[in-house]
Amino acid sequence: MILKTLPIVLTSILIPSLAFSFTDAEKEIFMKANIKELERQGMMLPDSGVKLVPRKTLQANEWQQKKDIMASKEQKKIGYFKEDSSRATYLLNFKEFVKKRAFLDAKMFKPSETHLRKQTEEMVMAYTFVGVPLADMSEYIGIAPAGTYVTYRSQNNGWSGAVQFFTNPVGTCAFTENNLKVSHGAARIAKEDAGTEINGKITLVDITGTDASGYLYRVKWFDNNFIRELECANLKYSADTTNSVIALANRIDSN
Amino acid sequence: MKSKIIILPLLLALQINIVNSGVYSTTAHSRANCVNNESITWFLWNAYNWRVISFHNYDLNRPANGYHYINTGMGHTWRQAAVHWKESYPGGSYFVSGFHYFLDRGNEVLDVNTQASDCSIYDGWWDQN
Repeated sequence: MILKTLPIVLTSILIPSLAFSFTDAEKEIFMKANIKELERQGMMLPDSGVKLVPRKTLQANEWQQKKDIMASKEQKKIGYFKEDSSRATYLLNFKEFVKKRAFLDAKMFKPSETHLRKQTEEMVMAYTFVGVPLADMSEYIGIAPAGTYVTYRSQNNGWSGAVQFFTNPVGTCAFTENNLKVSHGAARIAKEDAGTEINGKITLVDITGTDASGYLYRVKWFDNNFIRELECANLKYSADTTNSVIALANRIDSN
Repeated sequence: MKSKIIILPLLLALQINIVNSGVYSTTAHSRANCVNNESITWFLWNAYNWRVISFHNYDLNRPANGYHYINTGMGHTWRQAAVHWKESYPGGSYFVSGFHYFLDRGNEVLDVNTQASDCSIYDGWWDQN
């Protein structure tokens, strides 16, 4: 029996270790060819920065652009876009979701895994994550990785971003950060939508929801190093809550 | 017996189990020479507008021609996967590079570039089992 099963076990174990190895210079040669092809297709390139562009130059199809324009107009008129928000519902029920997953997360303990934990130090990050000031949390629910786990660099391997969950007088919130220097990300933002509410940086403010789903107050801001997003869910809409979420985002950015 | 030796690693390598995704946020990954070559963006049960372009390079002597790519197109899904099934084998010599795009209320974001030249059971891919 052992003789029969041994080859199976050995083959399974060996698969990950049979790695063909490329040097950084060889990877660079491949990446140059890939980026040239992306450029030929008009796709956004890695590390190309955050740019404001006219909406009509973005790649969204016509119906999507029409919907985006309608949402923007409605938000300017009544303060929010009236459409169910599944993300608002998700955040409003987040603590229940965490309870249900607790038995699965309890099986994970490695610093590099994707489970929810209490301390940033319990994660392997590719950079120093700062996040939300503790003074702005009524209750800190936890932190989890976001983005990708970088393993191909010679140093500073780890996650390229993280998400923190917490409650605050404005609602149940998630703060997500993407480190562009690690992720090699970029963005093209419709200049018609962009503001400068967060410390003068390119900022998007979206409020979407209904009484049935709850309301999602979303602030996303961009600079040369990070894409950051604060999402707070509340059962009700109010312009004061919008202002409070923007103020909270400003404090996070200044932290 | 021979078929068992082949099938078990294949199952492990293909790993299409839906629980292998980011659970609390969007995560992105590439894998190479796992039988499949692939790049995937996912966030369990949370759908967004995503496009993944996965380049599979194999010829250093002809870098401009020695590759192909899979472009998923933009789609609203919780798991956007650019996969070339059975393209390689454990110990194969492919380099996989994924470009993970996100259409965020009409605005374009390149979330992350992922790179891999092996099938390591690295974190974020398998740890939800």
